[in-house]
Amino acid sequence: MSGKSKRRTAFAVLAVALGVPFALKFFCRALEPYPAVIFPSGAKLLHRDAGALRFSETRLYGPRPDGRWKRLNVETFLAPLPEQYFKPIVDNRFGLDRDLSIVAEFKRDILPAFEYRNAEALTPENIAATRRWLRRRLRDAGLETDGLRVVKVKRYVDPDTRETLRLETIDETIYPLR
Amino acid sequence: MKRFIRSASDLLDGAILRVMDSAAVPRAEASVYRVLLASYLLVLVRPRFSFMSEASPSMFNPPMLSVANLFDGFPPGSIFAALDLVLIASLLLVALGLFARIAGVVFFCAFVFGSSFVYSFGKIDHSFLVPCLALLCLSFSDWTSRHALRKDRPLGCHRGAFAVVAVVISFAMFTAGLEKLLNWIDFDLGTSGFLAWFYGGYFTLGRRDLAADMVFRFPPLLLEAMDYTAVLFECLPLVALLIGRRAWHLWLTCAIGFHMVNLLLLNIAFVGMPILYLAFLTRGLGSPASVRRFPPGDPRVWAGLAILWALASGVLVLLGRDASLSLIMGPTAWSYAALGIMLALMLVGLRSVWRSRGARSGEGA
Repeated sequence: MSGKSKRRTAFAVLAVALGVPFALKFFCRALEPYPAVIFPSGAKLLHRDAGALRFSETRLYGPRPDGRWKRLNVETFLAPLPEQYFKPIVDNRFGLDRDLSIVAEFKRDILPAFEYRNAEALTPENIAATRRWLRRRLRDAGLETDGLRVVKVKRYVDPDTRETLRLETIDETIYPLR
Repeated sequence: MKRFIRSASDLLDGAILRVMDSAAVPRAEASVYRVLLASYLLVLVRPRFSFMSEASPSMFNPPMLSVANLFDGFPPGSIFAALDLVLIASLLLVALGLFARIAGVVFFCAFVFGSSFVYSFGKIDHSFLVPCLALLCLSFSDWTSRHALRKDRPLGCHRGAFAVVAVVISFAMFTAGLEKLLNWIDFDLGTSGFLAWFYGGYFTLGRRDLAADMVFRFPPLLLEAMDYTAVLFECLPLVALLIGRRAWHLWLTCAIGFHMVNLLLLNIAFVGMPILYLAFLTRGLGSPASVRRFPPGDPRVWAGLAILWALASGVLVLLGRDASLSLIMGPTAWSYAALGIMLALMLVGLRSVWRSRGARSGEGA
């Protein structure tokens, strides 16, 4: 193969290796592959005249012996798992809910024909293991182990005063762990 | 039609050669950079996966198109512990220049395998892949020709390897810029992409260090200009590569400035990319004069590297920073340290732009 042909072949391979994964993600986020050369775009746009800023937050609570809920420090609760994976783990309901997990939704709604080899991850044994995992972490935090409360809130902030104006609960789920 | 195809293919050949010239790095400099990149990955990034042994089995939710999706769950903890050992050993071998090519390939495979499971919590972070991919590509260059305990056999693709890394960097930037181009260029002073980044970091992640507070005083026109500058900057590297070496070096230097502004205003210390840019900005660092002064076998070279390494690790420990896969901003002290690194890299970039003035094709490697 001549130098020119080699270069052209290398160019074609590189174009496919870079372009196809990006195109997959660009047109269907669910198909985002790994590994792929894709940087996060963060292309959100803020409307400056929309008034108060709104931020979504997810908070974790564990039951205290007196029955009230205590807010947990997410970083400590998940450690040594990195805190940055907290949101996707919560979005996937800790893998506790086989029917409502993201995996199941993909399988059922988006690509029903695709065979998910990881379906085994949501067996009753594994779900029980995750319940034990959560109970152990609640115990380590000095709390009761009956359940875990996940609250999604919207925080409104005034950009001029930098003060929080109000908190609004968007969603609340209690996972029974017994 | 035939003539059109021929001229298109000539154009493509010309473009490929131009990119190879723009991205050319002499072997001596490449060898210095090998030590630098491997040390950076080993000391600052320190990829590790042993924490995955704590993951609970039903949290396994891998990306559909990934290695992890070929498995039924997380592998046992011992596999992740072994991966950590492989990563450290392979980076050490690359830094020392001992079976560096094989070590580079092993490192990349181990990194991708381990990361696939980390991202099986449901969130992919591609940013860390690019420096690792660069290490893989450069393993096929002649970067063990100097400062190595054992030279790898030249494969005749030294320039090609650096060109691929340059294209990967440019394409990665383009992937970030394209979506911004579609959303941020709206000629509307009532909207701001930069502020969407800023407020999120400031109010939810506590990124309030350095010059972050200044942003509240920025006029709408400046904020709009920042959006357009970011889009232009992120979409342009491929064009800079095609224009020539000086334009490419200028873009790389501007890129370091871009990351520095991000650090100052958004408190996002993305040190990895500037370190990657350095691959193309080290002209002269491995020149015959400096090699004569510090020949590869000179124990002073290794002693110096060991001291630098120890200092870097010591600084990190003193700062109380647990260098991990995440390079997102931590304590204020780390912000200043990152700023210092970026300033130094900026000076290297400016020096390189100055030196590459009037550079002609073919003199690169």
